[in-house]
Amino acid sequence: MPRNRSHQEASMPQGPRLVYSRKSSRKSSQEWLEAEDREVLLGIRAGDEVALAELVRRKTQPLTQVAYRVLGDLEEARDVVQVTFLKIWNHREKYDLKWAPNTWIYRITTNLAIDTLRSRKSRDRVQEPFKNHIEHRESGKRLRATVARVGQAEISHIFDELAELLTEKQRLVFVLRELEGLSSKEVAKVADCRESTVRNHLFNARKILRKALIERYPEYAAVYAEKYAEKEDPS
Amino acid sequence: MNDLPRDPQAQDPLAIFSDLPAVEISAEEVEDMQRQVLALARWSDSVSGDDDQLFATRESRLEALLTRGRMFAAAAALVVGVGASALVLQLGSPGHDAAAEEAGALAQARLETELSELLAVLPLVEELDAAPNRVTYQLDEGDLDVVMIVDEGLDL
Repeated sequence: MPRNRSHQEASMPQGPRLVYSRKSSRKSSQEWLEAEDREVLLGIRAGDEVALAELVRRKTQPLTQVAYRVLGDLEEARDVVQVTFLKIWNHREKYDLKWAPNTWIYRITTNLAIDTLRSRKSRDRVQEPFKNHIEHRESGKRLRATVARVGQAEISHIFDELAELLTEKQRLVFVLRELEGLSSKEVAKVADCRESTVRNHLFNARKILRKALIERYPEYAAVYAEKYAEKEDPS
Repeated sequence: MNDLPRDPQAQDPLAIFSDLPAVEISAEEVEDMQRQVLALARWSDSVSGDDDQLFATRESRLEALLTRGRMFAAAAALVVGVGASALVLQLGSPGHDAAAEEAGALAQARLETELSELLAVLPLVEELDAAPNRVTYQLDEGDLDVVMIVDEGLDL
């Protein structure tokens, strides 16, 4: 189930290949295209706006995806990503080489996403106590009515609905480990917890999601179980 | 269709999520993000500059605030005008139907929260005046007000 996404830091040398300072000559946009993430962060640390633009270019898509999986709202995800880049810039001198670039960046993004999630929940509690519940039920009815069309959009809706059942940490761990394909070690660093805690959160998240999926969407569960079985056993 | 797999461990229904679509971000959206982030970064750096940078500071502040207008637009708020010393945000959409009214109410709630977050990101500010339909914020140097107006149909 984890997607086979290779993370740049896996093949990255432990130390920086290039030590970038304010006195060194600045790279061009084209040169930054070839640079590794760690070099780009060192460029940012030195105050190079071109390096910041390059980081935005290469990280907007993956960070938006992570934030969206946590939040279930693309517009909020975009805001989180924008603030992530701003925080990286404002705290650029704090970037430590001991951090793998993706781990450091993902941590900022996921912390902001969880803050947004909490802020939204708090707001919803005060302003619209029943609205979400009604939308939730209507959304479920619509999905069940269109179960014949097992499309990606429906799957996104199902995930958004079921992910609401998870705690923030469970959701974060499930997204990073199962959907984004990070290792348990990387997830532990991003989520600031031990690997054993990651495994516990993952176990519980899967249990909750599996149960809810079978209860609420048995048709989907059956269809995908069959599809999955066919992939495993082509005969 | 309703038959569940006999061995749920071997045939995990959570495999459904392996088909979750990737979030599609266009090249234009990435460029837009670059522009906004750089504007905010420049503004952020400029606020600690000295007094002779005041004009540049003010311009970059406006630019940063306006780029963040995307957030407000998403909440059905509309940036309707920038005065000499004020950024004016009008909530709701033209017309007075129920949908617009609801959008306006939701936008107001979201804007109040997000404006406070924005102001936290851009350390502007003290709230000067809060009335049911109007909130006025003043920048730290007192050279630009951010005014939120919830009324519709204002002639700006």
